[in-house]
Amino acid sequence: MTTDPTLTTLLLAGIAAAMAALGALPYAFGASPPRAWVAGAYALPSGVMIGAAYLLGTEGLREALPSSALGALIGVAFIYWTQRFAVSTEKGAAADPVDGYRQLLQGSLHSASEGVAIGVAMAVSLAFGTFLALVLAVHNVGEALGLTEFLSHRGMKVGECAGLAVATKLSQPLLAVATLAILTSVPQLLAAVLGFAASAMFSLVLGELVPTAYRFGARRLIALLLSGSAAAVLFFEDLLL
Amino acid sequence: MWTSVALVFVYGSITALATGLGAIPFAFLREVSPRTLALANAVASGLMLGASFGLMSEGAHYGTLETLVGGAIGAAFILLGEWLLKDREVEFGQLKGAGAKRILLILGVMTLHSFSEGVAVGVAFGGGEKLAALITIAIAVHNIPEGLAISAVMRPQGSSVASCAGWSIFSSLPQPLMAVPAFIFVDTFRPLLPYGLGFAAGAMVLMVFLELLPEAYENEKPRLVALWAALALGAMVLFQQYL
Repeated sequence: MTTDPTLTTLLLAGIAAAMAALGALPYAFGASPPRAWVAGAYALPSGVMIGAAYLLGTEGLREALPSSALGALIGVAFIYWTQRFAVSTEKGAAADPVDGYRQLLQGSLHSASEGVAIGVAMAVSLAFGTFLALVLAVHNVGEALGLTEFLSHRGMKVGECAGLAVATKLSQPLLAVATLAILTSVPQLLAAVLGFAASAMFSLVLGELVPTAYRFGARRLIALLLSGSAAAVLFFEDLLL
Repeated sequence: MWTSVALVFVYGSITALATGLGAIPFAFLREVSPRTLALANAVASGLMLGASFGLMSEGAHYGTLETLVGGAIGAAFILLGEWLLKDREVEFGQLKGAGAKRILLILGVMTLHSFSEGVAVGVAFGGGEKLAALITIAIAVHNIPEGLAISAVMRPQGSSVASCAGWSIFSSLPQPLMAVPAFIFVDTFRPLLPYGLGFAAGAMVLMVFLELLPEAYENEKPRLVALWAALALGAMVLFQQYL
């Protein structure tokens, strides 16, 4: 692997984005997975993101408390604003071409904060950044599964779903590289960006992913997957880094 | 020795009484609409997740694996509790049904986790009186939002402010009771700390995702739930950092 941090970031975040295509795979075989699976596909990445947010947050607090708190506040406000574009994921809702653009916009805004998270983790250390990129790659698969479930019910072809899933994730490598570049030249921003990434990911999970998961029932499974995958992130971080 | 033991008990009692202060804001909240209840649940979720983060990082000082094992036990405890209470008519004072069950669960968790906080106070005395005073203040202040979280669950179900405060203090009574033996047998108790801290974190996290958040989403927009929960979590984390 290359040792240039920018190239590594681009490569890893790019792979993470491409992984989203895998989420559409089950649907390619014509099978629509059981509802509990879809609930799990939303819950698993949510837990992973909560674990990652915890790691970023503690890292930020270690750097500088006031600026990471300020960054966190901006993160919460940013996500609150972006969720205005949320599309109704109710099954019966009528398909509307405008919805497609909104989906792309909302998905891209969602991935943007995840890209910032990868970039800022890379700025902390190569190992932490690689770890977070891998974590988010796993999470992209789950999210793409959820997206495909919703879009295929509206009559979209599986290949197109996979394409859209990857497209919404393209802002991950873009913002990861941009964040790393900015932080390399202005390292004073590190704590604030860490706070931003942590709170943005947490708000995304609670405002978007978790409520969608609950819509598919299986409340107990969701709660277990959420807490279990968050704990697994902490465990592996402790083990590997 | 015995004057120290008495002092440990007094310090433990101070932390317990502090929990009751969490009920105070609810003296000013009269009517509770479904949307207020949803936001109270969101705030309680944020506080509990924030507290869990604090407990996890505190536990990680003693051992991450032990803390996670404790967390798994805590999560199992909540599932078991829910399963045991499932088909049973639960009454809590004048309350019945789902609300009463939830109150019972949160009180159970908070009371059990107070054991480990009591141990923390007792063990801290082993490191000298200055450290003990510091830890006591830290735990006392951190108990206030715990009382707040308990009250945020109890008050919307119709409990009086006095009973919110009373049960909040009750949930912390194990603190003075556990601080004393932990102080006397400090070397025996210290290894148990990460398990206790993890237990509380795991139990609270599971309760948030199993009970509090699903109910919050039913009556309020997800993005508002997320906003309040994130702000409460941030406040809790900041609060713990400044101590």
